[in-house]
Amino acid sequence: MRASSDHILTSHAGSLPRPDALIEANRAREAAAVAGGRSYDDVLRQSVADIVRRQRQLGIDVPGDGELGKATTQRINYGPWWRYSFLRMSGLSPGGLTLYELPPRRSGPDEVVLTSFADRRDRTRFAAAYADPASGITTGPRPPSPVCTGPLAYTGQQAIAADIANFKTALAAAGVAEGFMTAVAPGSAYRIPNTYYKSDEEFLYAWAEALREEYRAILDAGLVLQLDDPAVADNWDMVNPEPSVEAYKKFTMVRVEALNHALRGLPQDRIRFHLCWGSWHGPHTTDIPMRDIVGVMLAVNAGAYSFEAGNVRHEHEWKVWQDVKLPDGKLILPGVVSHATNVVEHPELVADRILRFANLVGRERVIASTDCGLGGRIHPDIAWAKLDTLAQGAALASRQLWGRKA
Amino acid sequence: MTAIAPASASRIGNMYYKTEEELLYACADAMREEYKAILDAGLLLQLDDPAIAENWDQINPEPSVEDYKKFTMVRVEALNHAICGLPQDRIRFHLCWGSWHGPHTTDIPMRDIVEVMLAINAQAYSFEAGNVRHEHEWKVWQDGKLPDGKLILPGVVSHATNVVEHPELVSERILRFANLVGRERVIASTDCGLGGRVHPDIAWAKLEALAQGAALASRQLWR
Repeated sequence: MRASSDHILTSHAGSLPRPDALIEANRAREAAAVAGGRSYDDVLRQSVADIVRRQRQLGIDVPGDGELGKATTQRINYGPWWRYSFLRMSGLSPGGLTLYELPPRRSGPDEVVLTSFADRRDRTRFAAAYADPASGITTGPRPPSPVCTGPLAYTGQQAIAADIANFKTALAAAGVAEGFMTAVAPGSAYRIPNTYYKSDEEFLYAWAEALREEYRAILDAGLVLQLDDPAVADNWDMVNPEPSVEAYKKFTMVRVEALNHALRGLPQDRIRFHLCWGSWHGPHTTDIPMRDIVGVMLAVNAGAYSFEAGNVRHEHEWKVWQDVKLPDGKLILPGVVSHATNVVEHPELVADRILRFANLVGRERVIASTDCGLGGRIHPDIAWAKLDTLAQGAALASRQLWGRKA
Repeated sequence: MTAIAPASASRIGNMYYKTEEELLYACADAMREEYKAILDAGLLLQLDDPAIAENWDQINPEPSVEDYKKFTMVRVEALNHAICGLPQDRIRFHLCWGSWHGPHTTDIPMRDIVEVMLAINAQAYSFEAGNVRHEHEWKVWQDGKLPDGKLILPGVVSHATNVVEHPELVSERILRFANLVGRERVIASTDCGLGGRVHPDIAWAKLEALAQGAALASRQLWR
């Protein structure tokens, strides 16, 4: 994985705005039609080429494929980052209920369980705001959740091969050395109903084994693998009533161990891990503090850690790194621009944020990134403006950190 | 109690007054009556005057900073005319860049208009500092320009995001200002009005975070 050896590198958390043509092609594919005479595959290939070139032009050093292969038929959609995995797995059957309609589950002091999406604590506390379409808190379409009814096996070989080929072609055409591709972590993917596996843990490890195949494919192709695992942080809000921090950490370590099991033997220096508290535009008052889970995050066998630090609930948490030692050889990708506001971060603010981290962990170990994916969460034009300001802010910070020459 | 300033009020169509300046001063003379009523009642008067900053985005193409300052000083003088002789120690001024949820990439930097703002005969100045376009501008006060006896009300929570500011962030923001202008001269405030701009429950949660953050900052500043 490239480190910031002579300037602050820039990257982002994954999702970028889907071009309208690709959204149309996805709709046509769903309706088993062909969009404008071009096949879905052609539109996707061209879209990935365009989006990599655009990132390059803006000054994003480590671009992604925008998660374009993770299909959506809607402009506003917070879900493709994990729902794509349902299309690449056998053992799942269509379900009738959305994750919001599942019955709530109560946790006890010694038994942490995840409740329904509708029963999440921030959502309960701000029920009126979450229910008000004018509040801006949307999460896009809510399709019924699949149900696991048989043994899980990875069936996405063709899809991931196409994603990789599209991305590598685009990287080569843009002259970019390193790119990253996201894949969902088992702890985040397995949060759906299961009637086949006997225990929660068995189900979790089945996901780990199946997803390992996708991780290997991405790494074997020479790409950087980013594991998307909001569950490590956002499950906290999904445990009702609020558990003790100790009980939550124990619960979460089971998921981290399953992830590490999936990663066994894979090249850690090309694996980065993405933590977040959920990217919906809610108040987020029940987010667990970074301080309480940073140790759990660092137990993930990755070479770099991406996390939210560019929104008002987590911006102050740069101070965590005053006390927590980032293990040698590891990097961080703090979010310095965010999907959480339409206002475009001023480049000087971006630089201020980068400098705080660089001064604590060392300039070579910071890659400037976004809080979460930008695609599907804010207007496309604002998303691109945020990547632009990210690159400008990183350049300002680099000038301060390496002197005028950088 | 808030009342609108002449520059912000006068931005409407006019077929009666011969010049823009005449309309502006007519607004100033008329609004003075409301200002007096508020102050005579013993209340604090807050003058809402986004026009001082946000007019910048309403001039197309972008003017020079010098031309804009000259244009804006005419409006500041009209406001000073309206509050002439009124008790300055109960007048505060509110500057902002417009509270709509847009990208705000064409906001004029605070550095370019801080002197224009300070030319207003108020005792305290309220301004946005709690959103990502203006958060870095606390550094403007490193140059020590706040005149003696004046106060600032920086925005430390904002309507610009649904996310509720963490009290520790609120405290951090307050401390940056307090360390530059002195703790006695900072009143923790919001960027703009919250009503009508975020969901009511989120608005109230933001005021709660504001109070909690100010308590944290106070513990550090007066320990």
